[in-house]
Amino acid sequence: MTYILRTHNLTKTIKRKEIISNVSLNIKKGEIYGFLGPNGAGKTTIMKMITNLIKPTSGEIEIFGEKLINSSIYVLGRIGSIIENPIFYDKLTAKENLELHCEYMGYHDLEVIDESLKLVNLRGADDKAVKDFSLGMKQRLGIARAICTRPEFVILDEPINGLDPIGIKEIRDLFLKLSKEFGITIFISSHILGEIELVADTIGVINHGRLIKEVSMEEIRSQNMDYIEVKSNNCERVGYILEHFLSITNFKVIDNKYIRVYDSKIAPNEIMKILVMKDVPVESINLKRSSLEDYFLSLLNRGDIHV
Amino acid sequence: MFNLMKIEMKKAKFGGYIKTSLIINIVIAAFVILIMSVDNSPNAQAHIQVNEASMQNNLSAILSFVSLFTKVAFIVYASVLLSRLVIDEFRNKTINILFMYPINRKKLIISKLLLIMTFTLINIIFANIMINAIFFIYNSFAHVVSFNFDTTLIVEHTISVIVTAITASCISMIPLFFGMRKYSVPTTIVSSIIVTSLLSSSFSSHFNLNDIIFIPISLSIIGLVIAYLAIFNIEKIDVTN
Repeated sequence: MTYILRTHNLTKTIKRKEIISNVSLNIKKGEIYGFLGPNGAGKTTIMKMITNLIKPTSGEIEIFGEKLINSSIYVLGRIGSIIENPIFYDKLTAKENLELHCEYMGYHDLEVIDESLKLVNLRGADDKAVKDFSLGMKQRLGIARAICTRPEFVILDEPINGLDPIGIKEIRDLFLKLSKEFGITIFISSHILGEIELVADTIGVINHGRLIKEVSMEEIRSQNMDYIEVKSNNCERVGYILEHFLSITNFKVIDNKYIRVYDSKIAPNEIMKILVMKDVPVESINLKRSSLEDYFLSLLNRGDIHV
Repeated sequence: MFNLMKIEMKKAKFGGYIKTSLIINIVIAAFVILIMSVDNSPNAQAHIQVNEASMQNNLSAILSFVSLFTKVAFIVYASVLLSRLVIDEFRNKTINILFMYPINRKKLIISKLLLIMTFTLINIIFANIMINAIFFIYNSFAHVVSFNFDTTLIVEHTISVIVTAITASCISMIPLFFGMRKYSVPTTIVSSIIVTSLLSSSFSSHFNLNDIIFIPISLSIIGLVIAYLAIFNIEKIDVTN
């Protein structure tokens, strides 16, 4: 397995306060890595350290298999990024901004500009000064800039902020396309868990500058089984029936109102059938899936209560 | 490096700055004509026209007057450019993008400073030629002042203009020191005005070499040191603004 990025015990101290402590990330080639954490957890700081904007106090960063040092610059040509907010030369148009970007990156095939504007669905607005753009449009342009020189590794800090639902879907599809078709490794941070859940292959959870967990989505999915939730005002009886007629013991009563059945072998309609037969009042019965959100919250709550 | 300067010019839409410096030249030319016309009211003119020596002084006065004005104007103008090209990049955080490019940070900053210095140098030399030309052409019609063309004086003056232009382009880096404290545009421009007013506080129609050389050269060394300080640490700092 080749890694695009590895950090070893990355630590950053600013004014004697440890902002980032001992973070060791491992990002594999070709994957989409979701970086989760509450506001102020240190996501942006880590991203800035990877792009050499902030220098780590201790620990090291290994990118494309090379150690990142102060004078590493060629490595930056292989990375595309939006960090913090999408920032542009406000007075220039979208196109001019991308042209500048290509020139600075040393990329001379200017056809990619139109192509990437098309990819993020920003054509037609390309002759407008960026200062007149909405946040969503800037975000799209930022993504266009990050990907237009075909980098191997793309770092995106909160790329879906300010996008409308349709935009979010488009961008999500774009990420999957970039990852699957072009084999670009994407490192994406967000606090919108539902989005990360849909695109990421691996997630890293960070809180208070510490990496709490780095785990693949597959593992999370296998860990968190689906469950059937029965809502009834007579939970005791439902529990009795489940135990004696369906021989299910793996269930939990919540708030004396809901019963969660964690047995994956049983289908909801079987439970429904037996409950109706036994004349138990059932308000609803649902097949539920514990989401990344539950997982995320449980991780954060384990370490620290105030999040 | 040259390529970086070219990109920089494109980014800043440099044509606009060139146009502005032409306008500055015309304004200074008009001002010089105005001053000279006022100065040479019939009474004074009668006095001046009498002797040969003062006629020579007239020429020297005009030349050094133009040289002084262009120097002041373009050092201040350089501070405007410094604000646009350097300070604003830091203020608007676009420097973050710039530092993420596969280009040495030092080179990026040096190309900006070099561009400003070259522009100031060319501006001052060109402005002296243009304004003097405008004035003498105007004078040949309007006869505001009369003087003798003295070749040695003109050669001497040309050398002094070139020295002034070189020192001024170095001195124009001094505002960078104040401007970079808090990335403030007003500070940059105000400090450039203070520097020029210190530099040009005494003005006499006689220029002597010490006047031209000593203070400007020490100030331009300071300017170069400041420019150096701005770039020498840039590789190591965190860009967190």
